[in-house]
Amino acid sequence: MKTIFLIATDSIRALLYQRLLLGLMVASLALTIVFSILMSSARKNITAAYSSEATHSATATTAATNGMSATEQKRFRASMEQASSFLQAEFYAMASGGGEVVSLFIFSLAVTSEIRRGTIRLTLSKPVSRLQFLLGKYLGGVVVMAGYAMLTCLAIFIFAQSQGLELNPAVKWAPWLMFCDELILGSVAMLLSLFVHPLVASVLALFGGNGLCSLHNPLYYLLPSYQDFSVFSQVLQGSLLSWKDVLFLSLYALDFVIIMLLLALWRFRAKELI
Amino acid sequence: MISLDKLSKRFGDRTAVDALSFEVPPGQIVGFLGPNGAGKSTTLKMLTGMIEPSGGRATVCGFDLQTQPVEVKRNVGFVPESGAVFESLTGLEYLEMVGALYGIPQNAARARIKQFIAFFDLSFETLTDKLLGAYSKGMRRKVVITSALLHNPPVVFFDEPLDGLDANAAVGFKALIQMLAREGKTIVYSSHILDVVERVCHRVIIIDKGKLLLDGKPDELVAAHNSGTLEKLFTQLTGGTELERRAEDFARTFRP
Repeated sequence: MKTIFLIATDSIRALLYQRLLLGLMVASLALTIVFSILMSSARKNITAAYSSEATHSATATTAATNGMSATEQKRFRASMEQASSFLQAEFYAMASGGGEVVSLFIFSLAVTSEIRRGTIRLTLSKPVSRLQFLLGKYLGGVVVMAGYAMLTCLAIFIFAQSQGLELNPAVKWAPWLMFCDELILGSVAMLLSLFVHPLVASVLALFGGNGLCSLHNPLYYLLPSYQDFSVFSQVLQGSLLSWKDVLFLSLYALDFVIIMLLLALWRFRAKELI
Repeated sequence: MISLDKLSKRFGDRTAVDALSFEVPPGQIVGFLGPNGAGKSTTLKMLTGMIEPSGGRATVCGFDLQTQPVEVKRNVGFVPESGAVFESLTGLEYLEMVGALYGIPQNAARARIKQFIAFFDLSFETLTDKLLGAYSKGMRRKVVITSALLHNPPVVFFDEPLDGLDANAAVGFKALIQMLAREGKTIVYSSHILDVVERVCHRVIIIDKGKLLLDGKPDELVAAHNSGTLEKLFTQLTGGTELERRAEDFARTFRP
């Protein structure tokens, strides 16, 4: 186990030195924040529209509602809640998209870049088995993705505070689900990268979900189900996730990741490192 | 210390190493020679547990290569031919990680690293302040050699170890491996620089197309084949005929 942690620590250190990865993470979060600020202006427009309908007040929410009838106030509050939920869901959807790119970058290159550069010889000539190497590389990626998920949490909290939004209960599981989704995506990318070029592996992993398959298609049960982890659709459909749903999705992610890692190990063991 | 019994490696239809058998006792420096593509690096990769043999058997320090690869790795040091290093780690980070992989406590590893730094005329600041990617080829080589010897292994495999080292470092390195052999370590030295092999090694093994061609003491082999030098013997055995005449003919093509 110690060896796996050492490989993971080494991977994390190497990843953090990679300016491209750091740039991707910062750009992803920055884009998310910029987009969300743009979305918040849409929310302000809704407020302004209702305020003008009410005729009495200008911008303040409380002042606006004071001048409305009970029905208007109800409509206004519903619209405000919807806009707020949509805004937060959109924030997570953006962050999740960015996280997916980061995840593909990390996991598709984790093993293949070492093979290409020849550094794998330095590691595998030490008392490290291929299983330990593969698990260490995956674990390193998991830690970086966990850091990214925590940064996203922090960003949504700061964003919600600055915009005066109340955190929507529909999105409370979103960072965890986003993290699980990225780990599934990463494990698929890591497996495929042992067969094809990392870029091709990333594209196949990203667009190889079962979203386009019907329930009667056997591929539906073989391909990863990324869409189930999207909190955006949950919010739009107005359905809240229970802790049982989250537990089921977490177990599904764990199950899928284990199967992908076993397949990756099978392929990696057979791979000739000439 | 090292024992190969019909060790083979095939890549698809191509046989890279063909039923290679030999034994190396403790304290011996063996020059492992062969032309490009002879199967030297593949043999070394098998003996260091990096790739699995297709057939035959080999033991290193009594550990079976196929059933105890991690134990084999624990008892060997390996300097690969490739100059690849972890470019995004500092030299010290890399060496401390290697120390940890061998279970050496951090303080002991650091003390050992400082001894190597002193031997190779490197400064500690170089090791801590710069990433390996910014090192010169020679400095990278020194770090890789340090990483191979850090855990004081009984068996060391060197694949073109002098590549990139300056003259002084090369002289120091040659003296070091001779001293290590006197301390009882087994050293397998693969190189194309045959005069160095002739001077440093107690024994040479020449392979070609994965098969063993010759095995013996350098001076005895040279005398037995009446070839004068190991270099001439090597070219005789591996088909490098009329090289000087061919070079002369080719050089004429440069004349206006």
